[in-house]
Amino acid sequence: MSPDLRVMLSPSSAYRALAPQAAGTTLRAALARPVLVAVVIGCALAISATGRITIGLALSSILCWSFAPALQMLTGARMLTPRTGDLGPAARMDLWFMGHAPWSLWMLASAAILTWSPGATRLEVFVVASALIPAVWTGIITCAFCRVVQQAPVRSAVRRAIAHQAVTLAVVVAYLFLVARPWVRLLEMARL
Amino acid sequence: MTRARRLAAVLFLCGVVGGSVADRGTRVPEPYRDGEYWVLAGDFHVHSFFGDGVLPPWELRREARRRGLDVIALTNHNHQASVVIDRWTFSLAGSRAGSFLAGDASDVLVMPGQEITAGRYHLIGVGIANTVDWTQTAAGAIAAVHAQGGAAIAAHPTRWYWDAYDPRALAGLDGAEVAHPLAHGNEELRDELIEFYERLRGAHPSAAPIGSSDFHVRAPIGLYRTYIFARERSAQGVVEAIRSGRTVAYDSTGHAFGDSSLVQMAERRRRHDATRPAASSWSASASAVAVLLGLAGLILL
Repeated sequence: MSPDLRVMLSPSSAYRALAPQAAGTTLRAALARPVLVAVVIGCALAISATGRITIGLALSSILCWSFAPALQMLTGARMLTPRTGDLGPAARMDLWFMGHAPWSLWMLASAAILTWSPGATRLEVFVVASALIPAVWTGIITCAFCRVVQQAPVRSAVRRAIAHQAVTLAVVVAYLFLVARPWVRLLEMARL
Repeated sequence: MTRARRLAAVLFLCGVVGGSVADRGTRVPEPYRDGEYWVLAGDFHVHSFFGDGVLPPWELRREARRRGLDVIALTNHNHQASVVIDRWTFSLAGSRAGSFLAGDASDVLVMPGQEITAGRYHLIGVGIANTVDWTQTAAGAIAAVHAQGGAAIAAHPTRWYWDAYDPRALAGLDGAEVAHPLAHGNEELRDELIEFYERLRGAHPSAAPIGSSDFHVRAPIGLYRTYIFARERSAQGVVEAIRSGRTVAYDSTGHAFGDSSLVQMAERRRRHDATRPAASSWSASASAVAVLLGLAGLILL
């Protein structure tokens, strides 16, 4: 069982076991998971869009969407900054990105569903709605990270997890507002 | 790395390499001429990355070529950042970077465009160089598109959008989407698109029927396409053909919209396209499955 799966299934006990082992993590080793996340997002979106994958398509998609894990590092910067304990930023980043499994598996499953389901159906709505599952799951993992790795009290850990989810959601909404201009339609609907 | 993870990594790499090999079987579509016209297959409603689509412009070129399209329009919501990027990557076509980015699909005509996204109308402007202000009326936006030498197409004009198209707007429109994924499997929406198109023809008899994919993430590019009968194989030729109503579109039931003589030419083009050997779909699917399973293995094992 990978550390990522352990964290997904039992976040607190997994972090308690993995945190001491992560002490000597180098920055290079810590970048492996963010790179994997970028590869997952890039390949999943490429397959969803075209039903195929090639070296060029994968590289292009990974390059374009690599801003997503980079943004995750930014929004989680507070989590990665050492406050207590002897874990450096690289170790914290590695532990932080061990929580990527719910979202990554959701991306892969969504790609499979959208690629091989028949025709243009209402499935997209179901897929988007199902994003609530990894969102909530990641919140639970983030809370466990704050409690175990950040050694924060329970209430503080819950507040930090909620704040992080809120910031992530705000970034996603801001991106959508920038590229899809949904606020134009929302304004019109509000006027009605 | 455990043995299981190594196997997962190998599966992933085999999938990517296998997919690349499978893709080489796609034959380059040759330009198709019928009488005095170039019969071009186009998709005039495509969203790209650097917008709310998932693929960057250079991959959209490749995907368009792969799906037998001769022309696409990049139509992101109220901006043309992807058009700028496409022009830049296309200008590299002679270089090594360019051959990766755009060189092998340089025969696909990529037209600048915009989905002018207002509250009560969405309008496709094809062949426009500058962003059109969305805060104006539909009639004003149509005039702004024409001022730039472009063609104005009503995007997915279902009942929600009808009120925005007053008589002045209807008289100015060059075409309307009669085939769109919104209406796939939805008879009510399909009827609304057709009703709008018939109303438009009442005001503007040579209005062009348009089929579009409105590609963002899914609905493969060219799912619904427009056949354009252009006198010259250029952006100006495409705009002139649309504004003259020389297009044919097919909806999800296979019903053709357009002049009957043009429909016959479109049918000949479709029969010609059917003779093109396509890349093996099962090997492409198998490669994609291998990639997804390999990545899942790297996460779980």
